[in-house]
Amino acid sequence: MELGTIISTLNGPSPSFFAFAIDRHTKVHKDQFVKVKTAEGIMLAMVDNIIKTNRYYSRPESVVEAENLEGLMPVSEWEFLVAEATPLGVLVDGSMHRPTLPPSPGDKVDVVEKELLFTTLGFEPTGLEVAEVFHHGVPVKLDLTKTFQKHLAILAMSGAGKSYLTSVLLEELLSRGKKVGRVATVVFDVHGEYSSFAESPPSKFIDFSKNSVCVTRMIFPVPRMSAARIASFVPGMSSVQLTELDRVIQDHYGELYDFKDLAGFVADSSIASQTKKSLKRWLLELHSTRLFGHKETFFTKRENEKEEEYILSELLSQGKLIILDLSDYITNRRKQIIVSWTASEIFKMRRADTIPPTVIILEEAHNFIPQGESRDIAMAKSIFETIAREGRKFLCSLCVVSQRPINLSTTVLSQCNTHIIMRITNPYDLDHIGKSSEGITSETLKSLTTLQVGEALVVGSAVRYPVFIKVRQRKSWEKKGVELEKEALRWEGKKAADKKELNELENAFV
Amino acid sequence: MELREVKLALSSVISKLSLIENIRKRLSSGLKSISHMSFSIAGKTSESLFNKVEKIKPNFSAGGVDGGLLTKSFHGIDLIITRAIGVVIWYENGKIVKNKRVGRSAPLVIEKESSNEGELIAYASLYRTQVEVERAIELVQKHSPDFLFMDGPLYPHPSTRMSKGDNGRAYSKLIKLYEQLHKECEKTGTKLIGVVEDTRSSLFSNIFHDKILPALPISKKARFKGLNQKFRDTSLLFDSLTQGERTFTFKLVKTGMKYEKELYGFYIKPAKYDRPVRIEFIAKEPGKLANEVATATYSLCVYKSYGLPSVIIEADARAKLNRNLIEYITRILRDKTGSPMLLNLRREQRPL
Repeated sequence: MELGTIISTLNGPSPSFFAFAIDRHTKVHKDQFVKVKTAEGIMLAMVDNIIKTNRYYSRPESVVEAENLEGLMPVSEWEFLVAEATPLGVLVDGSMHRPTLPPSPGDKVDVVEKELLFTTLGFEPTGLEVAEVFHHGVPVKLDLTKTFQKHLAILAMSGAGKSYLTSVLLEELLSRGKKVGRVATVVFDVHGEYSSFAESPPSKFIDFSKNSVCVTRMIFPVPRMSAARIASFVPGMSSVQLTELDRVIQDHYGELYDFKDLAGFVADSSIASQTKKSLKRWLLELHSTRLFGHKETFFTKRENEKEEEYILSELLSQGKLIILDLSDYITNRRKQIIVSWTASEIFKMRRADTIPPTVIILEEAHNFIPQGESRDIAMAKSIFETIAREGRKFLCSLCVVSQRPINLSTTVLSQCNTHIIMRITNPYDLDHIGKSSEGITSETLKSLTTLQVGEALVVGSAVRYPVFIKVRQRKSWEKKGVELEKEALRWEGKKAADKKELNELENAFV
Repeated sequence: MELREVKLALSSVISKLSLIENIRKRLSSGLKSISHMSFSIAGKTSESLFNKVEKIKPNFSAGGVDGGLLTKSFHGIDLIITRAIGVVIWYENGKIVKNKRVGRSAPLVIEKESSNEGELIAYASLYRTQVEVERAIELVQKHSPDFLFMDGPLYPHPSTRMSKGDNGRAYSKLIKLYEQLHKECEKTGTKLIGVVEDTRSSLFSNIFHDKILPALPISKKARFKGLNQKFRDTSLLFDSLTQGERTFTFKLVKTGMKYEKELYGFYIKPAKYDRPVRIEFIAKEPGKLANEVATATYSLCVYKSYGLPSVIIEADARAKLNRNLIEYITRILRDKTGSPMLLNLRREQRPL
């Protein structure tokens, strides 16, 4: 279908820009893909902007002085739509090339067929179907390897639909068949948003509970920890203290102990009293977090069922999802310890090839891998930077989800080769995204501020060209949070009931 | 030294202009003072010197025709590119209910070997007007509007009148076309109107000095004593006519048309900040038609500083040719022929 005709402008048509007059009675949208035949082949382009012109309204002085302009002049006849497009590539013999010749003024611009767009954007029939391409209805099926192997970042302001998109991604990961390749998935669920995956949903939703477990509590094994690992949980441990602690640990190698026991070993050792005192204090303080014990235990719990105990490697299997629910952990330090230890173990096991390829999804990533913060405050930063740099080789993939990209470690963000960016309005975040995401033009960047909930831009290795998408409907059950109004009403009722009870009690005594 | 000479020359122009402007203003003010006086210039009815024009919500159909013209002189030949577009708008109670365009947007391109620049300009003008009048005939035949506004007078400009050669033939053809247009309008009842925007005419000024001034009572005449300077009509009437006023109707002369005896005109000021325009029309009895034509013209004016009727503005916008077209056509001709006749003129190729 014909959409318009290329016009001659001051800066185009060129291999990097052209404008076309949109035919009357056809619709062209911003961010839509279009095609045009050129001497090189079929040129694919994206509409960056659409401008409406009308000669009768082009001179302000004439507009202001006119009387009954619409009544006397056929002004609507002069309204034209001009689309500005950026060529993306030229299709030659089935493969895309960089355009080196411009289209000609007068050339016709056409709609891009769905099949052509699907292959041109680099989607795969067996890919993760997370959305539809804006204005085209083409399913966005992201290739698993291209999306995750070189890590993924989901960036958006609060309420733009990050968790919704992450849930859709989880659905796709859990729905993959054996023949197309499955991964193990771990989610660090800071707000308990994904625990519903592990629960039986109402009938109209797809049940993912058989492939998902929710870890509500965990104990990390002290005997498997080196002095250096313990020191990573304790900010400010000196090299002397570290050496002394290492010696104590070596002396008790092979024994089962927790931090309280270890503090006892320290107390009984011949370490200098000042060092001993400090070490004991730190070890007892770690013990008080109730995160450490004799052996590794991950407690999973399903609704109306007994708590079960596992070790991490037992839970990590292909096509399965582990949700580490951190919502009950109040202090940042405890969350940091859990995330840091678990991520390190997963990476270690992947290096040893004892667990299947794994995708780690980190919610509120800016809190765990912040830019500029020291290791003392951000214990997990180091391991995630390592995974970001080396995870690709060991098929340990990272998916960072954040609402403050500017606060996210640039090491991690720059290693995420695919970015899915949803609505962002903060100018600092926008600037940061513009600098760290490849292939984003200034026009595209401006569009991010106007995206609606559930709309996103995908850039990077998962797609051949930046593409605006609309996230598909969720198939899994989303446990809704309590609404403010309903909770406020519940409290009103509670208050009245309390008062009534008090009155009755008073009356009974009187 | 040279700068001082330029300044001296300029001050001389300034003094002369100031003097003339002073006379013009006094004449204008004098005209205003006798604007209510009646005269019988057009012969059959008498009108005031200046008359109020009624502005109404248009309830009629109006057509407009205008042409675009580009010329290019090469080393060996000249090129004329033109097109004429007609528009018709149907109004009901001050609102557009329908509009149509007449004529193709593709321009006509002809080559010409002119012996001098003046001849080319005259021929191009005649040719453009021919195309315009042909378009107007087509418009009247197809849509028979109540009024048809032509951009320009209802006769060929006397400066284009030549007895011999191509120009002579083009002139004769144009006369015939105008007469055919007049006949078509008579058939359909369309009122044919010529809108002359940048006229250099002194017709009104001459009538005033030769006929009105001598007929004034002595008391009024004193006001014009010593003001013998003649001006172009639009300068003279620039601030003596106020918005929504027109002059009396006068006869147009020396047009060379068969309908010359029925050709009348007046000046009207439809826009507050614009100069008056001359309106021409053909009538056996001009009195009633003059008011009708003036009302239609004034009611179709939209802008405060551009006093032309809407249909002419619309036709002009549609007919206008972009100068880039010359480059485009030249490139095609050069590519196909490679002829040295298509070399640019030397004046366009100066090294510095």
